[in-house]
Amino acid sequence: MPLIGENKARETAVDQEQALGRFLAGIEKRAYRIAKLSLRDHDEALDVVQDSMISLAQNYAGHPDEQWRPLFYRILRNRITDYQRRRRVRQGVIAWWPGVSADDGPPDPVESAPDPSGTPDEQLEGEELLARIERALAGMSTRQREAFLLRNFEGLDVAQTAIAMGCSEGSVKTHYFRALQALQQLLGEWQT
Amino acid sequence: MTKKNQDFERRSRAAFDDSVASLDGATRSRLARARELALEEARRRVRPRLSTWVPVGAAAAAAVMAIALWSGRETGSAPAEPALAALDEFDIVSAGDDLDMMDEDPAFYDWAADELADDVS
Repeated sequence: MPLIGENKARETAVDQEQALGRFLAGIEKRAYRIAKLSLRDHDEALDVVQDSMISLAQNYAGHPDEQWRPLFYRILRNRITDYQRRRRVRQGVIAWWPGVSADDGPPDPVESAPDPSGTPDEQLEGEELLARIERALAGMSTRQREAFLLRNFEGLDVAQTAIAMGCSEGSVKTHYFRALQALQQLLGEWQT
Repeated sequence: MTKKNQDFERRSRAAFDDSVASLDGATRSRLARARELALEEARRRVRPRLSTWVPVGAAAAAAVMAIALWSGRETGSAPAEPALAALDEFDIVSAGDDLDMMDEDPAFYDWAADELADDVS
């Protein structure tokens, strides 16, 4: 027969698991989109989100719920950086190896273009804007891209973004402001 | 923050939100599976912790209970000195020779008392 303490501990564990499930369900789609905007690769984006979810569950499930969001995005950011680093190394090795072509070359513009069939005009406008932002983000510094994605798209406040990026709040403000300026310059013709 | 910046933030965020809302079924399904894997990992981490610490806690509680009962029994009994005196009495009662001597030779005690009186005087 289980002890009272054991029952209590099990109840707490079940509550915690349910809370974690709700948190992950609420964040997974946005996290995938942010990873996709950073990596520009569907499968890699799914992989980094899965790795980040598992890492959060392994290491921080016992932390207070309000800490999960910045911690999750910190893990996601680190995973994205790892994938980008690995990709650079892979591309470097392939460039030195004659006769071998990289699998992940520049994306095919026709294949990566949003499918406009059956979408309303305003949605097409949004998709087009997002596609332009994605291209512009690819040319920006990592810090500026992270600040923009986390602050504007994910809606983290300055303090949470600082935790996720592992830098000071002042640094977040600077990177975010510069990202906004750069994006608006790059998308100048869109500002009507 | 200028109005132009705010407008750009709002429009780009709306475009992002739309893209999240219109994710295809296959991607949603992969994400749900990834979530289940993460939750299974969380469950796996909790199970060994419970099975390890609950028996340890139970054993510790039993030990504390045993110590409390033992010390309670000691504090509830008679003081130690009378207990030792009772053991002495038991020894005297069990040593039958001495009592026999008291029955058989009372004159010895009369003599010993007289000797003691002489020494004092």
